[in-house]
Amino acid sequence: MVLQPVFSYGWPIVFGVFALSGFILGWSAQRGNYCFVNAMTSVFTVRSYERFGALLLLFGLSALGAGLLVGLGVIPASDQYYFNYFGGWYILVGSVIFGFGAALAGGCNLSMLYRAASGYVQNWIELFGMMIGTYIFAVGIWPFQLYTMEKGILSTTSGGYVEYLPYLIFHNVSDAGVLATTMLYSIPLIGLGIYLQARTKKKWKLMSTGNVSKGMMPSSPKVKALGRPAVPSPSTIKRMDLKGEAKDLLLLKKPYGTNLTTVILALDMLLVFIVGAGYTFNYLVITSSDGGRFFEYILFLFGQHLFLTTPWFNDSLPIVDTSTLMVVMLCVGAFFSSYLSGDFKIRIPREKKRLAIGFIGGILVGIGVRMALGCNVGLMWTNFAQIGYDGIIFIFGMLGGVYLAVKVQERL
Amino acid sequence: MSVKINPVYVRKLLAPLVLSMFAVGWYKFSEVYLVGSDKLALSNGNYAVYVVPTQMQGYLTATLWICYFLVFAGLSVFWYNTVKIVQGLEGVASSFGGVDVVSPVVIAVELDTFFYLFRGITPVDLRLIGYGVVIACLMWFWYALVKYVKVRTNG
Repeated sequence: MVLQPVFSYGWPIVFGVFALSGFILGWSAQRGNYCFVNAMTSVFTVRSYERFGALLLLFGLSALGAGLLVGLGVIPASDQYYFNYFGGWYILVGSVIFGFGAALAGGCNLSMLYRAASGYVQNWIELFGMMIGTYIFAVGIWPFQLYTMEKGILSTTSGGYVEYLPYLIFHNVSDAGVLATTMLYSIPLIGLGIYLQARTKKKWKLMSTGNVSKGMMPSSPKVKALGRPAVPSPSTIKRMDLKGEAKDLLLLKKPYGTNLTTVILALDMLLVFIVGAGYTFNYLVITSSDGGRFFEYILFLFGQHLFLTTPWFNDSLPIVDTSTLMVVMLCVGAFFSSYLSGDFKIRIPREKKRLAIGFIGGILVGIGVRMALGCNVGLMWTNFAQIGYDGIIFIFGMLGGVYLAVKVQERL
Repeated sequence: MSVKINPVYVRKLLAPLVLSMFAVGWYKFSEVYLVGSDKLALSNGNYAVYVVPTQMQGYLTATLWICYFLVFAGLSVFWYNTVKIVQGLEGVASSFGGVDVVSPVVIAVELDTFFYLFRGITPVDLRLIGYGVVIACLMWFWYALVKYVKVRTNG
C-alpha cells in the first residue's frame, strides 16, 4: 500500500511545518519543564500524580483529536495506522531499559533535548551516551531482534492495521468503528488524568490547611476606582488575574503550567498529523532514531558511512526525513525560550559522578528506545494517537524501569 | 592591568552568534554531506536509506529558509543585547550616547555579512542591496555623529 498526500502542497511546506512543530515543542516543553520521566518519578517519590495525570491527559487528547479527524473523514484511516510498528517482547524489555536509563540520566528523550539546549552539560553527556547506545544496539541486538520479528517469536510479524484497535475490535476501519473506538479509548484516559490531578490537588490542599496562616495568604490586587469603593467584584479579579497571567506567560516571566503545556503539545501533535498526512510519518518524533542519525552525521565528517557497513543503520533510517529538522528546531526552540527568559546557562554538575551516571543512563536510553522501536514520544505518545496498544505496553514497562531506578538511586 | 569581563555579557553576546553560525553550518552540512551521502546510497543501491530528489530538495529549501530566519533572529538578539549592555555601562543619564553612533555601523556590517553569507545560495544578486545598505548606513552614521557631538558640546 502506498500513501497518497491528503493535501496538495510540496515537500518544502511539509519539512517547514515539521520544523515549526519542533520549535513549538521545544519552546513549550522548556517553558513547562515537561518531562515524562519526572512525571513518573514523582509518583514513586512524593506520591504526586499531578504530572502523571497530565501525561494521561496528553495521550487522551491526542487520541481524541486524531481519532475525530479520521472518524469525521478529514484524514484517511490509513494515515493513522500506516506507521503503526510491530508489537512484541522488545517493546516491554526496551521500555523497562529506557525508563531505568532515563531516570538515572535525569531526563526522558524530550527533556534531554530541551535541557541540553538550555545549557545542561549532563544532558549533553546523556545525548552522547544515547548515540553510543544506539550503535551498541545496532551491532549487538538488532540482528537477533529482527530475526524474532521476522519469525513472529513473541512478536507480531507486521504492523499497520493489524495493531489498529478499531480493526481489532470491529474487523474493519469504517468511520463509525474509528469514532466508537476513539471514544472508548480516549475518554477514560482523559477522565483518569483529570481524576489523578484532582486527587493530588486535594491532597495538597489538605496538607496546607492549618499550616497556612492568614498573613501568608495571597492578598487581593489593589484596584483604583473613581466614585466607587475600591472593592472589585470576584469576576473582575478573576479577569485581571487571567490578563496578568497571560501577560506574564507571553513575556516569559512565568513558566507555563502543566496543563497549558499539555494542550499545546496535543495541538502540536495534531498539526503534524494533518500536515504530514500521506507524505511521511505524521506524528511527533524525538531523538530515538535521530540519536543514531546524528551519530551517523558526525561520522560523515570523517568519511565514515554507517549505512554502508552497519546493521540497523543500513535498513532503518533514511538519510534525511522530517524528524531531522524537527529535532534540530526543537533544540532551537528550547534555546530561544531559555535564552529569552534568562534561564540559559552552561551548567556543569558539582558532583562529577553525575556526568558518568548521565553517560551510562544515556547508553541505556539508546539501547532501550531502539529495542522498543521508539521512545516515550515517537512510540508511546504517538501510539496513543495511533489508537494502538504498543503505547500501553510501553507505559507499564517505563513505569517499571523508573521504579527500579528510583530504588537504585535511593541506595547510591 | 587586567580587564575583567562579566561572564553574563559573554553569554548574552556569544550565544546568539553561535546560533547564527550553527544555522549557516547546518545548511552547508546538509548541502555538502547529506546530498553527497544520498548519492552514495543510490550508487550502492541502498534504497532503504536513499531519499528521492524531490524530498531532498524540499528538505534543502526548508533548511535554507530556516537558516535565513535563524541568522536574522540570532543577529537581532545579538544587537539588542549589545545595545542593552552598552546602555547599562554608559548609565541612563545620557539620552544620546556612543551606542547611537555605533548602531548604523553595526547594522551595516550585520546586513552585509548576511548578504555575503547567502550570496551563493540565493537566486538573486544581492550586491546592489548590499551597496545600498552601506550608503544608507553611512549617511545615518554621519547624522548620528554630528548629533552626538552637539549633545556633548551643549550638554
